[in-house]
Amino acid sequence: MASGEAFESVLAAAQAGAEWAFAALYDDFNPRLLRYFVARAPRAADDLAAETWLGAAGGLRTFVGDEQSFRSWLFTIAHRRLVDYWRDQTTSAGDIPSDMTGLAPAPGEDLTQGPEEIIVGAESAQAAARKIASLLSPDQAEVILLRVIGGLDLDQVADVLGKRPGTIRVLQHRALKKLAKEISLEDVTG
Amino acid sequence: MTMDSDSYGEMHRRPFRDTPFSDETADRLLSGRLPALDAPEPYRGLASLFEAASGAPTHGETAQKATVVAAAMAAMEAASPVHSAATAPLSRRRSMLSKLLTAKAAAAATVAVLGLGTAAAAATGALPIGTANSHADAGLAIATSNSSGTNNGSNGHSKNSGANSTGAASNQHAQFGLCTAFLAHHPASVSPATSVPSDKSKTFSALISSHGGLAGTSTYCQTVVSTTTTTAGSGDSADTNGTENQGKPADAGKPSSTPPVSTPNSGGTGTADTASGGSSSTGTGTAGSSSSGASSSGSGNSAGH
Repeated sequence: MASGEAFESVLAAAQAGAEWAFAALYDDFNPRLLRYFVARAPRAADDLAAETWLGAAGGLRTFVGDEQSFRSWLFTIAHRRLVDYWRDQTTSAGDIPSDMTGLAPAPGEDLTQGPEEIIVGAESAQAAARKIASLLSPDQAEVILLRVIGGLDLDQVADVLGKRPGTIRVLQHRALKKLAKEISLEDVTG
Repeated sequence: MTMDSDSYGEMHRRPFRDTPFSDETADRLLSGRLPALDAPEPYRGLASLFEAASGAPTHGETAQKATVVAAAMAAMEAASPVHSAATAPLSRRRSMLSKLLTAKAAAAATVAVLGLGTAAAAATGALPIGTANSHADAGLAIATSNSSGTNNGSNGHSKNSGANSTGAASNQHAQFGLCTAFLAHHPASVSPATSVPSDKSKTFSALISSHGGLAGTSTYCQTVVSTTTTTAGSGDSADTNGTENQGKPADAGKPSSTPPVSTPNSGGTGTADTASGGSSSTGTGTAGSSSSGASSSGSGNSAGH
């Protein structure tokens, strides 16, 4: 999405009910939304992304803000959908779903490949997102995914997750160190 | 795990254990402002991974576009200001109204239960003689009132004295309250077949059985309510009519300014409707709250520009 006035005009048209404008927003934001869900709840990623858009549609007319605010708003809805999903899974299964504790790779997917290989591979972005999630704790993964995939700044991530910025900074720092360590180890051993 | 494998792991992890991540470096990495090709060695792998995760969209990532956009447009239509203005405030008013009137009905039912319990105790001789007599009289007065349909509180006071008259008046109010609550839960428009199974109140069951079923009870209660309303509202006859005063068992004789009881018919049902409405629209509700939160955030951003 072109930033600035282009986004504002598209948003205004979408708020007025123009289908083409909503489609433009979808084109622009859904890929990252989908990657976020693929990383955190791969089995329900498509459904959760669709639910997020439906939730956004319900409140779109009252939204006020620029592109960055819209991004933060959209991922706030996405995060809440994810939490609802986890809660439902926990309730129905009686234990914590595997989606919540990290990620079990889907059949045929190899999340252990190195980043350089990921870049040139098919569905590389989603695989990279899943790799991030698989190497980190759920809290750490949430922070990194919202920053990298969601494109949110630290304060926005704090708002989305309902934590203090200082807490997010600590999580982020530990996550980066852990990722750097794991990736370097893969480089050496791979 | 053996010592050798531990040593092997440590050997390869040590160089990165203290990889420095200043806030600025972290921000550059996470926001994609540190390209992998330009990144120093310790960060190159991370930058590469993050670049991949935030890479260009693929066609498959918008495969559900048609379906989702169509559904979203329908959701937007449903959440349009016209719908919101027409339904949301009304539902909130109903909710509040239901709560208030449900509380009133509960209070009336409590008074009724106490009155009936006292009458029952008097009938079985469980009360002291004087009290039993007075409450038996009260019960008689109610029975008379029930049969004639013309007695009222002032008549009770004039016929009886002292404790008797007080008991009669309070029991009549209790009957009024009980009937008001009964009519609220058994509106005329609802068929008995649908009302009976949901009625688990012993008080209502006793009332129904003592009047030969729902139809008889309904007729009796309408008579009690209309009679009591006519007499109790004598000082404010201008504002008083049978419908408006039905919802005021505790305020008999006071000006009638509260809404009719036909609304609290949904007392239980209305509350349930509200609850289920909130639950069923969890998605929208969440979106709404998200919206408000982000909107304020957005406003802040807008203000900043």
